Amino acid sequence: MRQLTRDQLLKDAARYGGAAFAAAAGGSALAHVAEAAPTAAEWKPSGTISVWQHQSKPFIDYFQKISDTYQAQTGVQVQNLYIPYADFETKVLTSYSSGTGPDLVKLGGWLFQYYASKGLFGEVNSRSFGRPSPQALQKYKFAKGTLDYFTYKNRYYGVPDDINNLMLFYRKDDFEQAGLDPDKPPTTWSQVVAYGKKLTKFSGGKMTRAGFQWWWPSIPIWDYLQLLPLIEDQGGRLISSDGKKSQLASKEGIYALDFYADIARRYNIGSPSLTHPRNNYGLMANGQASMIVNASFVGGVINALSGGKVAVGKNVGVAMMPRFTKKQKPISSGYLWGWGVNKQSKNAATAWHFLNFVLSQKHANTMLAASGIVMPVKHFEKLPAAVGNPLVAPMMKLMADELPYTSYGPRLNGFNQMIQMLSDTMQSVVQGKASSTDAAKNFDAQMTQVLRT
Amino acid sequence: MVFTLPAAVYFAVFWIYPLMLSGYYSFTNYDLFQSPQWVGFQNYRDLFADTTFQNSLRVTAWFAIGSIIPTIVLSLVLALPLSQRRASSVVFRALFFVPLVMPLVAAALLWQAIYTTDGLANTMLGWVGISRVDWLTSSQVALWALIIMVVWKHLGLYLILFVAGIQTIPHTVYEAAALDGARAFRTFFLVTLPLLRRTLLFVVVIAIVGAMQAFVPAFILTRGGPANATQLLPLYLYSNAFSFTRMGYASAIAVLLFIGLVMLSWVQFRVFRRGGEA
Repeated sequence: MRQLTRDQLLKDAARYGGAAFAAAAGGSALAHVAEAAPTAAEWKPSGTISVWQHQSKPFIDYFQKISDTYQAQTGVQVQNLYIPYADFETKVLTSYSSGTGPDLVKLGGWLFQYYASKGLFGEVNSRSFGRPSPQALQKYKFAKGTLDYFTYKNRYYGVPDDINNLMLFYRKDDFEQAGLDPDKPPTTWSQVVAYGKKLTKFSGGKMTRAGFQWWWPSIPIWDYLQLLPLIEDQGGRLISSDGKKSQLASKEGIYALDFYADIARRYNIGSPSLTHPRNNYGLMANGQASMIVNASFVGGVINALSGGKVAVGKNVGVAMMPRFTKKQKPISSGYLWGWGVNKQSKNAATAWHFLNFVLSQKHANTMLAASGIVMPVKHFEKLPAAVGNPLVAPMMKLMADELPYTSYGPRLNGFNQMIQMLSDTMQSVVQGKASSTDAAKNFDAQMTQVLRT
Repeated sequence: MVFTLPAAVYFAVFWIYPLMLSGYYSFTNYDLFQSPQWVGFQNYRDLFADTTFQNSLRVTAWFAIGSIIPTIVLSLVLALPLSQRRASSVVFRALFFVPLVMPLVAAALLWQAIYTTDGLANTMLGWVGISRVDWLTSSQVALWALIIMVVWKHLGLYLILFVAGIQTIPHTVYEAAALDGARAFRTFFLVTLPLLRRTLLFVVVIAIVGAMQAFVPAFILTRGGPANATQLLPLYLYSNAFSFTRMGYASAIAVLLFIGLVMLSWVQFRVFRRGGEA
């Protein structure tokens, strides 16, 4: 059997995408997702635009190609700056505060409310996309609800470029070895626990393979993404709908906290002490975790980390996020990255025009093939690179299925502070430093001040 | 006077002005984008009621004690044989110095790999029959994991400083001590250590300032977790400033940190100068 490597994966993906594109050039493969060219008759793009983002190498390589093409077609100078993620938010923040922010920046969607509320981002120029209004733009160009996510006080301040929602990844080979049906993944959390007990392995009293593993060591945004569906699955909310009250100490919140911690504490099917530099998907690639919840981007990474031995569509299955009961509607959590245009930009119209060029079906297809990044363009799941590549197709279908049930959680100015405090709260329960009730009450008390800002 | 002007201007612009501005911001509510709003002592009142800040103070104190004492003791002990003018001493001094020249971020990433479940640290413990340790994911152990890394990183610097200090002590002093019948132990405490007082003062001051300002190890390895177990004060300050955009609050932390460091340094100078100049 041919061994898959990361390079091979990307080549395969490009081939599937490329083949489809060749057909598209003849007018077939992309026909169902075809779009009209933007009608930007009122102005002509010109000048220079500065673009800041953080991304992985395959994405950067392809984005640079898109920029070069745009530059060749329009004469606009696109100055790209790629910044490592660890420094990214700080650099963007300080540049904007000193009035030297770039024309275009790609930020986590959760930060848009803050930037919009401080008057740092300009409103979406739908004319640059050839649409009369943002509402029309949402309907015409983007997957349902993804542009709407970038609103603040009913106005649009950004456009989506990267979507991920949480799903269950499981090792089919581990399932088989444990006597479980690899084609019937767990649909409820109680099944996850039951299956996890069969899948977990120990040696010398230490866990060597987690039946189910959270994202440990914890990272605030991932702690938040994991806890949110556990709360909302029960009908609860982390923050009240009016955004004024923290509700972690509710029945649903405390139950969710307990369940999160009980994976290690009570059921012993996962462990914070089982770590890998690439988190729980590194463990899955290594054979040290049989089930994880994570986002679609890890599909390609697992493949690459394992040298092609472990891959979605091969020996890794994907399934919807488990629920507490089957009666409940499906639930997942997710996040979007999006583009904002500096309100002070002297070349805002060109910046929006460039975004229209970037966020096309064609680029979405090739970007998916080249880097695994999913641009939430309309019918992204039907792009040739999504349906033609068996390593990607299951995740794309699942993402599309989950999309109507995906929660992006509360949008607050103090979002970063909230997720940091939530992460501290969750880990204090896991570490046995506080009971879930006390920790949740403490979180709610601390959030009172955050919600005032 | 004219010759000191550039230095004075530099000091005023890059030290006095930021310090005063930080002091001013600490009495305001400031988010970088809107004008600072005067809130009096509110930030300080909030700080003293902030359990995360109190925890951060405790963590920083333990980190300082845990990293400074072993680093200084180890580097002093190692400096004694390595201050001999031998070829092997030069080689070992260079080897101990290697971690220091390594970028701190690279070193932290290296230790992140060392501390993983199947990393070098647990592998080595396995060789001597000790079971796996949750280096970065246990709230009891994570701070010690950072301390080990920092000791490894700074040992070379203090070692070189002590070697330089020891090499400036005249041989005649040791010859006189030997003639008086002093053995190695007594010679160290009654001759070497007192004559190293200035070096020791310098090392202790930079070690404490360094420990109180330590940021990168916690930022890279643990992000202050698990459950705030490694939430060092500079990291908490950074989070408030650049993640939560609470510049006023972060400035209040900075002011308290500054006052604390000035007081600590003053105490050290008083203690080490007691008994006259070395």
